[in-house]
Amino acid sequence: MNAILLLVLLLLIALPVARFIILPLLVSLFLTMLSTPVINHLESVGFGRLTIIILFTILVVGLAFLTVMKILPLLYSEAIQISGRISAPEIYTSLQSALTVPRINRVLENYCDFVLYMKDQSVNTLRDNPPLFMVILIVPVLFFLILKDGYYLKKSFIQSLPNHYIEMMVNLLHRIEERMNIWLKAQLLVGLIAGGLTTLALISLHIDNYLLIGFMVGFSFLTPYFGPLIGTLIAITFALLETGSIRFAVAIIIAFATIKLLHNLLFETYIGKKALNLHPLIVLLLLFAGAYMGGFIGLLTIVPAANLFLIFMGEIYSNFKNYGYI
Amino acid sequence: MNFGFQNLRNNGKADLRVISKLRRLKLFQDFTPKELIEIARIVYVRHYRKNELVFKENHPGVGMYFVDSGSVKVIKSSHIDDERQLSILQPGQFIGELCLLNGESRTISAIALEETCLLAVFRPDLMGLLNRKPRLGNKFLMTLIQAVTSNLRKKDEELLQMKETLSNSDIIQ
Repeated sequence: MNAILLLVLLLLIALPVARFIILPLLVSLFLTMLSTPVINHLESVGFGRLTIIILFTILVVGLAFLTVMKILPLLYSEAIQISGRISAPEIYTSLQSALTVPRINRVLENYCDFVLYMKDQSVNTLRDNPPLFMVILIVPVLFFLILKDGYYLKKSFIQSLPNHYIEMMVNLLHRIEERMNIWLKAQLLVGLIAGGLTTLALISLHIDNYLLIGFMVGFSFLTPYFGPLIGTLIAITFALLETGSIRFAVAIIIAFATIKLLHNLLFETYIGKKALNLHPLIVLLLLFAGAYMGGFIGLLTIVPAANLFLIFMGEIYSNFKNYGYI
Repeated sequence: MNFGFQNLRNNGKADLRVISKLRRLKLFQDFTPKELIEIARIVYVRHYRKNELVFKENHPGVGMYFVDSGSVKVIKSSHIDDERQLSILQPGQFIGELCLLNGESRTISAIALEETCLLAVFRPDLMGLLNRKPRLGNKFLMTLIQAVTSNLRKKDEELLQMKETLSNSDIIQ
């Protein structure tokens, strides 16, 4: 009873700061999932577990340092550069000069308003969330603690359960871990390939903000059905803003068609087996909600987040059903 | 509810009580103290009240149990009567080993007959041990398979004896 009261009290205290914890925790869990097989392998060939964990933490600290010192400032300056260009009259002129079709003006105006809204919402989302540098500083600490004590924390939690639920919880935690592991790795693979190829295509087209656009396109490919289309639109819009030339839009469409083809050929079969079958309508509704709430950030993250949530809930449901609780 | 985070407080150091309980089991006689420490890390000590269900038939099986103290009744539902008692397990014996090996559903139910202490080993933890310490994981599996085959041989002999008894009895004739 005391433990429950303590837990409720802790939750009440933690609620206002929960959003500062959740993102670093998710990033740390993701890094842990990625590094665990390598750590296990090194341990199996005779290295001490603690030594490997310390080495990996140093690696994560190095990555965090690189992100804070190099990648974030670069992404930030690209975002500022693009953001500066997204002001209605300029984007309109830029796009108008690119597409010299008079009838399309009204559509263009609406599109410009939409891009402006998306930019504002993205800025609001970033403002409401914990500063990225704080996330990056907390991640190595959490990463170390999860790797070192995660198993014992899980064991202590299972040990504290009544006998009636112990097998169900062991099974549930294992299934969730397994499914999320497969799903996250598959998504990472798709995102990296799509983002990497986009960045290369943009570099070859001499478009400046290749890193930010590549990053966004990588994320967009995690959304089924509409992801590649969103990615193409983002890349074309940003490239037009920068260059004002339709030539680049055509080149980007060709580049993206090739990337999508490669994606289909190499990964669709592999990912298709592991992905959840979200109905296109649901995906579309989620995309609208994401864009409305969080601009570009919401648009790119809402479907993968919903997918993750559905995996989690699906496993809970099937496990409860298998054990006859529902 | 007991939120005893002993494992976390001990920083993963195996509980000496668990090691001494493991030492008493025949299955772990050939294990070195160092190996027992590793095994103890994946063992859960569970206490059951009289008539408390350990696991139920047809539920997904995730692990096996060693009887440390008390006794466990093994039952199976039957077409003829509601349930049929198959055996009673005493300290040192184990149950649920097939689910540990193949991860399939339970084919029997187990109920504690009195205040009982069981040592549980679950499949995900064993898989983790096999990944981290393959030699120890394999030793555990080989020892377990030897014990299972030995049990199987005994059951075969019992079955043969029963068949002989039945063929000599008036029921068959």
